[in-house]
Amino acid sequence: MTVTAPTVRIVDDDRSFLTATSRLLRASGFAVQAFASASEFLAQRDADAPGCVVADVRMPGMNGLDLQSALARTRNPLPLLFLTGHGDIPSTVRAMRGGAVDFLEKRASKERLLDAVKRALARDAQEREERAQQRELLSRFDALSKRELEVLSHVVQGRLNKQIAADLGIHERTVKLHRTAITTKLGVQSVAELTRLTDEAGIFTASAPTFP
Amino acid sequence: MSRAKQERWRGRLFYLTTAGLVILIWGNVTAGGQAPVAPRPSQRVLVLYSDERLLPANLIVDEAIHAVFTADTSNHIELHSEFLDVARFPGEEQRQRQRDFFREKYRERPPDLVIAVGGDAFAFLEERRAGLFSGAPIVYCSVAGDPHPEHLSDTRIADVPVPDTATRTLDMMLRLHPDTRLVAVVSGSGPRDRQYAEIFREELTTFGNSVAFTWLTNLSMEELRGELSRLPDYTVVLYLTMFQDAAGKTFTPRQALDAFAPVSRAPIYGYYETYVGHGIVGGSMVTFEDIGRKAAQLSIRVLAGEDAQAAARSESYQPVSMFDWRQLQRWKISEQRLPPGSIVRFKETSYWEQHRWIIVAAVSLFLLETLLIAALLVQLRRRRVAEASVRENAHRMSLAVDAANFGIWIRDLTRNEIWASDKWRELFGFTPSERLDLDRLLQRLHPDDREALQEVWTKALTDGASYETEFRLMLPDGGLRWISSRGQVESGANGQPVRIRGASRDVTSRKQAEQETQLLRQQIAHVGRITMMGQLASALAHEINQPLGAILRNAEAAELFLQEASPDLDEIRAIVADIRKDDQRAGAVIDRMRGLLKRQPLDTRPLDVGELVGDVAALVQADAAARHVKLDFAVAGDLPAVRGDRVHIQQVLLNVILNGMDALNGASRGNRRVSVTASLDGAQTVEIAVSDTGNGIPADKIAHVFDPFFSTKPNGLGMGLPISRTIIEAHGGRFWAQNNNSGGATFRFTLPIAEEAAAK
Repeated sequence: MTVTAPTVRIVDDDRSFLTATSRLLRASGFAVQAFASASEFLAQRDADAPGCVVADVRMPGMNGLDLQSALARTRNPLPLLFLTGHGDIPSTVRAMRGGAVDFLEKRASKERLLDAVKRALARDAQEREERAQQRELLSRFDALSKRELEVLSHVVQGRLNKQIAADLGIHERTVKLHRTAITTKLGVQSVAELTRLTDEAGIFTASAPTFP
Repeated sequence: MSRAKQERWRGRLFYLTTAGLVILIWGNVTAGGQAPVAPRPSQRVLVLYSDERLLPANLIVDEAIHAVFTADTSNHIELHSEFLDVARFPGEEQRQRQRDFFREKYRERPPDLVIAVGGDAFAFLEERRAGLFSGAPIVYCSVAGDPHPEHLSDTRIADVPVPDTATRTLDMMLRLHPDTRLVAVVSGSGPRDRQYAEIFREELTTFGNSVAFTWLTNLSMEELRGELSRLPDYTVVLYLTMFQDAAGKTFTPRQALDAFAPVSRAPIYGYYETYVGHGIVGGSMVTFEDIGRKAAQLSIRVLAGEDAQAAARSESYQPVSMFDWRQLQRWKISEQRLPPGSIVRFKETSYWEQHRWIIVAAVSLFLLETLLIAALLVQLRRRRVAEASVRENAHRMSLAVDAANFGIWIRDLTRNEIWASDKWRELFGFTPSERLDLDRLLQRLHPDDREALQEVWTKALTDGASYETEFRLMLPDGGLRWISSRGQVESGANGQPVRIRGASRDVTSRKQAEQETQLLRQQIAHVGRITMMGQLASALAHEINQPLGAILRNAEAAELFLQEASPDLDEIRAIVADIRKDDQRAGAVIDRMRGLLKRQPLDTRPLDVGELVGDVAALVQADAAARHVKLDFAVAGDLPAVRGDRVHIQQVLLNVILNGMDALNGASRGNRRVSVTASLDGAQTVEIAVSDTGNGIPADKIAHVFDPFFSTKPNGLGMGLPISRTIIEAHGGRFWAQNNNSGGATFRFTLPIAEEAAAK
């Protein structure tokens, strides 16, 4: 992963506003990329490079809210800050529910705009950190065999070796061997630690990536 | 009382009467001093019973003996009875005592003959022949089961052996129950029981072994009952005797039978007559009456000097088959299968058999009476149904009328009287007793509706037709009620209307609902208007905010660039150029909006002011009524036509009138009025003025009422008047507002007179 400075991506079909906002943000010290449409932005190779997105809600073609849904599906969803000429309640609600950092009028004060951009960048950095940790955790679990993962799922539910052996139809001694392998591979000392780790990796929760 | 007994009683009475007559006649003859026939000396007969006096068999035997002796008028026999009661007083000592007692008792009057009833009595006598009644011949009266001496050396003993009814009964049982697998023999535990059972066993040896036997002996009554209740299928019971059970309890055999027969799972047979009617199906038996009678007859012959043994040999018993009809029913044995000549007792002859004609007569009478009663009932019911139907109809009618909230009334035109139902009086606010006439009725009407209703009546009377109308009532309590009324004029013989008959109904709630619906419709229209304006404003804001936002951002960026040590002047020039460009863009948006607003060219043509105002009046009338606003329209006569776009002008007028009504919100009920006047203003224009009785426009606001987005109303958009003024001015007219001296405000606008009209 190449380390690049966080970039503010501005997406607005109003070229004049796009240029003006880019100027202001650049003058305020941010790296800025300007896009005249949502699809133009999404077509960029590094669409998920660190940074945030400042987008107009009303745009021809893919509008700001569509862009929000599209971003949510990427590997690194960038925090989104909405700008609108005249905010209406339903789209504001939808945008904020979708996780928008803020929802500002185009004529909002410079301070509010810059503050919102800073918050968006900070959130991105934090989320990237968390995701990296998560991936690291998951990569540790990658070392586990399918059977070991199976045993692990029972262990974290607090089941005894005897019960696990009965459930999986294997010998209790085999369960013990699997457990030793699991703790060695994951580098943990106790069941409590194992449970915490598993929990953090989220490998047994519905939203987590599926087993290899 | 059984029939047999009845017959016996009748027989005995006959004998007694006959005997009495004979004695009387004989007595007279004797008294007559005719040659005396030497009377036979009186002879004494002692009947010695083995058992107690009340043994059923003994009672029958006793009676039979008595009957025979009584019937025999040629002898006078003195009858004595003694009872050994061996079952209850067993033992040799007892017998000894009885012997001594009898010897002493009969020392002076020894019996000339002794009848021994039962084996025990006979044995008692035979054994003590020397010391007791030694001179008297003995007639042995035995029953089934009693032993008989093989050989009688004493010629003065007469013994008629009873035929073997036990095996006959057994034969009969097996014939009636061909499926029988087991015969249960019931016998008691007393000495006599054992003796009888022993004799039966001997008889049984001749019977062969076609069927199995089980002996229910040596059992207590309880045990016996238990055994009988558990008997297997295809079993029949033969009951011998039970004077005593294994527990030592004594019975007469019939009492014992009574005790166990009801619980038996199998039919019981027996060969003693006394058992019939007490639980046995039947059996082959010698009747005790026969036994007693035969003993008495033998006795008479022996007393007359005949040889006892010879006399006995000439006699024999004919056993009979006797059955209990109820038991035959219980065990489902058909009477047809019984041996010929069988006696069936306890047969319930039906009432039909006994009283056929009485029954026929009674039933006929009953039927006749029933028919009569039925006919009467039918008639009564018909009348009731008819009455109920009339009541029901009346009830339904009143229900229907009440349910529909109808009040019924009849106006008598000739007498100027009104009759009305209670419901009608209630509707119109009259008490049930109050006198009604047309004046009172009209008083009740809303003043605005009186004339209209009278017109309706007049028309109906002229046409002689029916009518339907709606009007308002002013109730005594101040309330208002809407009434829907239908009427029908009825004419007399001469064709003149004599009365109006009608029905009235309260439709207030319907009217209120209608008004509410109207109000709702207006509110929706109003909301629609606001929404449309809101959308317009939103679009406007968005369009204008784009360039304004860009200008702002550019200016801010420029400020930042200028703060740098060596500002990039090219950049700043570009920014300034963009700012100018965006400013023009914003201006263009506003121009475009304006263009949108006046996109439709005015369609001006000559318009009749009266018509114009009338159309708008029709539109707002309902709204005004709902809001309790009194609307006045005053259009001067002979107004020339004006030139204008009908729709636009009407919109303006409507807008101004609605504003006027809005201004009345909060005004008191009596002071809510909007007046519209149209008059000529100079030679070229017509002025239309709309004035309200509200609070007027505050002095500091009056200069701004035509500014866009200025509104004194909480929900106002502030666009109505500016647009209206724009429209009027587009027509070449003027639009202004002023406060009235008397309160409220007046909005006036002018419209040019159409050229054609002006040219006139």
